[in-house]
Amino acid sequence: MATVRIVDADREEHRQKRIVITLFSIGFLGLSYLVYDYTQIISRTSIPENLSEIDPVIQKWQVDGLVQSFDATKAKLVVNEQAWQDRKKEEKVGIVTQLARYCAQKNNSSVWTLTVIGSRTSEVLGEFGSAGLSVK
Amino acid sequence: MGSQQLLIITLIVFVVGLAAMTGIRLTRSYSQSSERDQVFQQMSILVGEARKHYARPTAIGGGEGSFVGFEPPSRFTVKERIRIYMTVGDDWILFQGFGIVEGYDGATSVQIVAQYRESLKDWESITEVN
Repeated sequence: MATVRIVDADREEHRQKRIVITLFSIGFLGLSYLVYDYTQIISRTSIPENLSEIDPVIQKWQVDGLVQSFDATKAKLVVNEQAWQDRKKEEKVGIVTQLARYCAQKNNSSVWTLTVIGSRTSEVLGEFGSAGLSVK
Repeated sequence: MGSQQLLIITLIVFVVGLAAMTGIRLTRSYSQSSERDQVFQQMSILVGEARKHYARPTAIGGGEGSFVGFEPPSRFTVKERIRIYMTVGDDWILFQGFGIVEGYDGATSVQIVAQYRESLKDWESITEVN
């Protein structure tokens, strides 16, 4: 190991302190980014591609308070307005599209339809119909 | 070895580990983005086929001003890494495309939902669902 002759002990101590603080800052920033990234992942609504896996997901949403009821025969999804508005637009589009496809399969139809209604105000929050997809 | 030097070595090891994890996340993010691009590219190909159907007279199996009846061959909707589901209206088509790489949620595959409208002659909406 190479040896270094330290002339000024105070200066060397300050230098090492600056190195420690810099490394701490980098470590803290990096850890913060990873924690933020992880929370973004786990907070996102997942909906599987396979239609046979939709039923347990609907049940989970009912437990979580997002969905009040889902009638595949009538292609009607009743949701909690606040929980629905808390979701990102991308998640809402994914939910409406996948459930519309699910309802078509359940009803042996080639036509995808779904209406998303608020449980409190009965406002139409999302729709898949003859005009295509519409999500608020 | 002084305690401060040991602390510096420990912190360097920690920062290198964090850098490696961040690099892995960024690589994963790039592969997700690349796969979404491939899915959308396949949707664009399907739109081209659909527009041919739209323009073709009904006498020869076309839609003559409607996308209704458009059914592409499976080689356009199912590929090695891509699956595309679609539904049509008179002047719109909606595609739901999936890849095989995990998407934003870290659990299910990348997903794009895109709606094309003939009156706009363009995509009405493109949503990166996952």
